[in-house]
Amino acid sequence: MLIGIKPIDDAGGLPDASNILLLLHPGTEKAQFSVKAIWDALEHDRKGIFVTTDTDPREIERASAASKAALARYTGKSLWFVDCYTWTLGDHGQAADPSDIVVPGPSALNDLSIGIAKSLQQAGDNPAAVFRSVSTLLLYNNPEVVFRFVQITGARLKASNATTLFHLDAGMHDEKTVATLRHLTDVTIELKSEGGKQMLLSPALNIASWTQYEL
Amino acid sequence: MIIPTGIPKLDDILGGGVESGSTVLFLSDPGVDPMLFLSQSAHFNVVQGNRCLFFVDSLTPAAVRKRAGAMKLWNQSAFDKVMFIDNFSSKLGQPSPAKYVVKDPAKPEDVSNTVDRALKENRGSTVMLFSDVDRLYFSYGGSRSLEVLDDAIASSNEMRTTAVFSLVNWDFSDEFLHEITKRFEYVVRLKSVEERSLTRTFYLVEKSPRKFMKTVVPFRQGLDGVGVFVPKLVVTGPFHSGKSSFIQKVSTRAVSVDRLGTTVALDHGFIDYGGIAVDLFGTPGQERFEFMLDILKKDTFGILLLVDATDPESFERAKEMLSLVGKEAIPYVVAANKQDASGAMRPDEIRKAMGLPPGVPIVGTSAVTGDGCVDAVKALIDAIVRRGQAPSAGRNA
Repeated sequence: MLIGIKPIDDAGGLPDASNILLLLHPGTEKAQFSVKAIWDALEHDRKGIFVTTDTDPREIERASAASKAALARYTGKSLWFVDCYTWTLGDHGQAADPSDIVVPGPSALNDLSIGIAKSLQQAGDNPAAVFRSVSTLLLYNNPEVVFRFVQITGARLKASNATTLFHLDAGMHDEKTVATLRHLTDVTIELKSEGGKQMLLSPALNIASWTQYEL
Repeated sequence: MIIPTGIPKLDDILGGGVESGSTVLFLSDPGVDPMLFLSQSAHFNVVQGNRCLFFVDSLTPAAVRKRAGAMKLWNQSAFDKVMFIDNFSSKLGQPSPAKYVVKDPAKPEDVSNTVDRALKENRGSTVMLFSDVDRLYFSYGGSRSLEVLDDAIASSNEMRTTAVFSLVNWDFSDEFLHEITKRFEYVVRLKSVEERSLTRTFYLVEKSPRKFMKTVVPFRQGLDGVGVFVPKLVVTGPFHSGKSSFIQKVSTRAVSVDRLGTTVALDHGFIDYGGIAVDLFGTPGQERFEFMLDILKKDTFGILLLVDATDPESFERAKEMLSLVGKEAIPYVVAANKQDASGAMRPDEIRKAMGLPPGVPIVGTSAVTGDGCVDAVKALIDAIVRRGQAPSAGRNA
């Protein structure tokens, strides 16, 4: 899957039907990489799923509009949000967009699993997906259940030929947690910010040294 | 005394419900919502005037009430009468409106004591719903979680309260699942089958102290709660037997692909009432469109064969069409249609004329007046449930 980000596309893009761990080092801009990736997929007539556990879907749309990758025009048509965030604010599932699939919080993992299944029914085969973020699940749940959730949900997404970016904030978790999630996913892409430059690293995609990228 | 669960068809399968004071486990695959089964059972019992306790560990009581309020057919105020045992709010550091709150969820004994106190202070409660047993495992580990479970079962047994538990199987070991299930008198499995981007859900009773129907019930979970859902029934029969009229009459909404008044591709109808939802697919009747049968019969749960009760000469063609869609593999029911017309043969006469086996239901219908049409669909759903096999992916008749 080509995502409009040069070093990745030069390496042949993201492998189709795969689960990708997007490991975000401290200081990295969290949203833009995956927003750009899913926007590019939408622009190329793929369907998209955006699971959010840490930001309101409308905020994601607003932030995306500030860049060239505006998502709002796809919402409910070819992009579906699984909103695991607004409930925690006390809105209790009052979705601002009727197409949003609202889940009652990041501790309701089974409801989240059902929400993702519903989004897959909407999106059909071969969608692009973003899961932002596994770190939130780890704040609310025992790591073991999160690992099982990622394993089972990842398998379901792959069964629908989805290419999914799972966000993980690198600085928040111990090495064992990060290593387990690396093991449970197919590819890891690390992102960091250095001297004002955005850098990425992914030996599995033959990007074996830190490489600058632009969005 | 028998306590109904309030889950469509489950009470029929169990002979009316579960025995009062017994223990029940809903053991679900990830992606199936056992909380909805528990909530539906709570709603059903409260509406019946029964007292109900509800242990929660992954949602706040307010969230459970809110979900219940979104259910189209439920009375949200009924949930005001449910007494919650809250093991979740303290984990979030939030205050809880529940009367029974586990103050220190890190201590398994605090869970056991709170559940015991709730049961004792509400002696005479009919049902305790206890969700999220899997979270006990992740909170306290295997052996301590089993101790908490044993404590809850012992407390409910002492109070003779029917206790219904739920557990999501996050790929637990067979040994652990065996340890869990052996503690329960009733075990109902909630299964999920993935077919590319589609998910099919069904339940089956695995264990009961009394005689029960060994069967598989397809269901859907949505804003109507848990309901029986048959994703595909094929309505077939000879030309002019009344298939399109039947589907139009029986469906909540329907559409036909026809030309000059005869079906050339398919009819589609959707039935949604009484906790049962069905997608109906009608085949063309003319021989030149026979290729459509091959397409439409794939993955069907059952066949409704319409025959024109005024036209015995069409019965041979009806039998031929039944063979084409595969009567051996799939439950089927015969609708003796046009019973409103003069000279219509009675169902028993048609059974004899067609040589139908005694076990095959035959229902008199009129697609003009609607008489018997719903009964025919219900008879087919009963036959499907009795047969108890969900079609596997890609299975052909």
